[in-house]
Amino acid sequence: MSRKPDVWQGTLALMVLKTLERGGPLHGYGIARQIEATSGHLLSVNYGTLYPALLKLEQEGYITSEWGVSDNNRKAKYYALARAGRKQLEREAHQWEQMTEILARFLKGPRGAPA
Amino acid sequence: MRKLRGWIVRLGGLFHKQRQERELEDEIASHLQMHIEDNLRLGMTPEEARRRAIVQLGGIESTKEAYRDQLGLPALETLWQDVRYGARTLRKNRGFTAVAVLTLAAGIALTASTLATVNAYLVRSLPYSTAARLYHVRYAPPGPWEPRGMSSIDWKSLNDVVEDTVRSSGMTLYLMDAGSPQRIRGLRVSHGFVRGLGVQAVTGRVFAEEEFAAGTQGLAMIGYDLWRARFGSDPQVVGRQFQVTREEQTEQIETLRIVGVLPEGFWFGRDSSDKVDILTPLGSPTRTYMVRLREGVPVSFAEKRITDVAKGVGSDFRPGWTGVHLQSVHDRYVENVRPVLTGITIAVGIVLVIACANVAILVLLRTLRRQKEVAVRVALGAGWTQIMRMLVSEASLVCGCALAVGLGLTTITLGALTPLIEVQLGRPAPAGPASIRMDSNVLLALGGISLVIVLSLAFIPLLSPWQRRLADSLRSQGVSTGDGPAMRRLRASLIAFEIGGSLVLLVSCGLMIRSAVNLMKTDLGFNPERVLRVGVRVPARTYADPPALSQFFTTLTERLPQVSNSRLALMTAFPPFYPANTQRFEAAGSPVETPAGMLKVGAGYFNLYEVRVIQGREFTVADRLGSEPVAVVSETLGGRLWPDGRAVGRQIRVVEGDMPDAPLGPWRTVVGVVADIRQGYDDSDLRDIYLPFLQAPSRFASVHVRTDLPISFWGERIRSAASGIDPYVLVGAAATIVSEDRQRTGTHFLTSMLIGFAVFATLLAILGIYGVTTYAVQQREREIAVRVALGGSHGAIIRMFLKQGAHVLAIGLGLGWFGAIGVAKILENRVYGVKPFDVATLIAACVVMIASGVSAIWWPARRAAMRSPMAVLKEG
Repeated sequence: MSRKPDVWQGTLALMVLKTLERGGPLHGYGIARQIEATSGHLLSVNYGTLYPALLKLEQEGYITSEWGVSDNNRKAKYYALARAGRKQLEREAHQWEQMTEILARFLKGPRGAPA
Repeated sequence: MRKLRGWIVRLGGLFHKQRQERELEDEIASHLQMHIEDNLRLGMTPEEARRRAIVQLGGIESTKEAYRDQLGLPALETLWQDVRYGARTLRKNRGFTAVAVLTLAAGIALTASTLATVNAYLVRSLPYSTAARLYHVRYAPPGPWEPRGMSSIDWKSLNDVVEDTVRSSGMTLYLMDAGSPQRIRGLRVSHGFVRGLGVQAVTGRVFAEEEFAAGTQGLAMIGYDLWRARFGSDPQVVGRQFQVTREEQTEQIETLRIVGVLPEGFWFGRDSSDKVDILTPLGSPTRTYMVRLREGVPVSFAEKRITDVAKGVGSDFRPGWTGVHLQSVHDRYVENVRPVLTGITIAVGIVLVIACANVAILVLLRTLRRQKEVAVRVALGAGWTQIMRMLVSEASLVCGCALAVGLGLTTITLGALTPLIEVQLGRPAPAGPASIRMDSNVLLALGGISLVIVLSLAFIPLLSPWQRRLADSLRSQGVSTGDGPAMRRLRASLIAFEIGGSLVLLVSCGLMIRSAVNLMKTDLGFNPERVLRVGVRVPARTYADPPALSQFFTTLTERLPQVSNSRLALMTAFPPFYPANTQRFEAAGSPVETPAGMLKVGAGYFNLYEVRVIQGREFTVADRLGSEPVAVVSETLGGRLWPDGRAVGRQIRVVEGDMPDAPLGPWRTVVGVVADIRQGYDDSDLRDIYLPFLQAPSRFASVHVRTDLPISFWGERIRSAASGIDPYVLVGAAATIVSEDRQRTGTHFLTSMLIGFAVFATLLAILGIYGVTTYAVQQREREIAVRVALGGSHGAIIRMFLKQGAHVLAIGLGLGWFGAIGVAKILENRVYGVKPFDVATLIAACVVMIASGVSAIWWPARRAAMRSPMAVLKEG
């Protein structure tokens, strides 16, 4: 079995925020599955690490939570993106894009050649 | 910002743990349910579905654990645990805890009280907005004579260094519209005064610049107290008018209009008790005695500039004149207080460090006793950080309790002692009596000190060689293992330090006791016991010439009650313990002498003070204006002027005015020679000339009474007699002459303080030595038992411990001798009749210290030697 890359430190929060932005309010399990699906099942999310991350985001005011009922009539805690979370997402996403672009240039660009 | 919010929420999370825990439980349950259902849908067996779900979650408990860590503040919770653990351990060792806390608390209370006093006097300046730039201008030094022409200095030309000239002229006023005239203190001030001191108004306004133009009259700012007492704190007081008369011209009534009210406690003058009742603009020029320098101007530069200008306009410069000097107002205020406070601060510092050293010794000994406990904890997996945390939390607890007790003690001490402190230091604190308190400066300093104490107490146990000995201490049964040489050295140096510090305090205390005894033994030539004095000052306007003055004082003495056993006499404004005026004089047929002390005393003065009349007679009521001018000389002066011993009948004349350059008075016939009197302990010039008060009366006088009656009786009688003659005469409060002996009271204050410190420090040192010896004895219990069993004498065993102790004692005493050199420097000006480095005192202090040290060793050693050897050996 090939090793799937773990979720990098710090990127999990970004993924959660993006998932909530795209899919609207969702419960923890749903978020985990969504992240896996979005990554094309290339990432292995340790579901257990998701909950402290959600708690932290909530403590910082980026997301809110509320108890609700799931599609198949189960009680579940739903998380939704807060206004501050939306801004944070924009900021972080922008940073990541920059970062990956720079890295890409390093990895692709010929040595010493101007871009 | 978001991070901070996160922390606050987490802090809050500490409090509703249970609800959070339930929610987490539910959330994980629902998560697993959904996951299992999905897995079932994929066709797994129920067991497999559940197992997979849990595996992918990463374990239920570890998820919960990670969640909980994010929920609260784990570090804080551990800290709380540490503190609880520490508190439990300390509760179990009540003796250790009590001694440590009380010792530290006493040290902290002493330090806090001293810091509060030092802060009020030496750190906080006078309560003016730019007090740091305010300077007294001194034209005179080195002598008391100012050059002429100093009032014509053009301060405008010094504009680049001097921002404001603070000029003022005091006046005594009487409020007329109260029933009887009420005396108030007024000040006419320049615009520079208002600007330089940053005078503010709590109601109304301060004077505007144009109101200082000559001719503007009738405006006043009133003091806070006057506002409250006379105008009932009326907020509409601005614009109201009131009537006053001036002391010099009581018949002329002046109307003043209020423009503003001064802030509470506003003062200007000698010290902060000189509250100002009325401020009016000063139009006429006066000499400038205070300036505010421009920001950043160096004092020496300003002095040079002012001196240059002064040289241009002045005349009559005395030989040796060193120029105009500036002295910061704060320095001038505290110049006499600073040495005493410095001395006390150092003494308190030594006491605090000794107290800490003692607690450190206690901690060290306890560390040795709990080696096993620590070994067990380490064996059970406690890391060094945990052990360190334990030590820090214990030290913090001890120190925290001590701080709480100490601050409580300080509040009580300051509450009770503030008036006493002010009396002993000779003047109230610059910002008023209420400023001797624990303000932020003091608390900050105390916080810093406590932190240092906590850290040093926490780290001291780490110096012990635990690592190597943990295994040993677990292995050894019952008997605790000995300690390493490093520990022994540390203990020895702490003890040596305590001994040295205590010796320093004992020496200082010994020197002060000897000074106090010397002061008491010193014969000043008069007997001040049971004598009290009431100052009387008459207005210049009404009593402009000697006959009027003479008339007033004659009437006053006649009206005073004749009480048996009480003797009365008049005198000018130089009572005992105030340095007398020295004046130029000339004696017929004798070589010229340097100026001698000149005092004007009334009839019966020498009899009252029990001064022996050696030749001739003393003054009587018959020596008055119009009778033959007479004088009395002191024995020393008489002997110098007329070595043949026949002074009576000779002629002498002296400057009788207050100005140094006044002409010599009339020739007087010497009618008596009296024994030498010293006005104070430092008065070494015994040449004095006495004139009869009624032949040369002055506006400033005092009535002296030797009496057994209470002080209030005479205060009241003299006051009513004086105001019966003239209600505008000022009568001061009655004071005993003994209370004016500031050097003696100051010495007593310092002596009693130092006695307290020395006793406390020595007790601590004894306690420390006792503790260490007790420990050493316990370590060697079996050895001692074996020795005794084999026939060793008790004496030999005690000697063995004494010999070990002698070493440390000797080092400590050596340290103390060095300290005594420092003491000599600090007490140089405070001791009287004893050399500041006095070998006899030093030896006496050493003897006390050795005796205390030896008994602290002897006691536990003897107890050990007396124990039955069999009992000890069986125990092991």
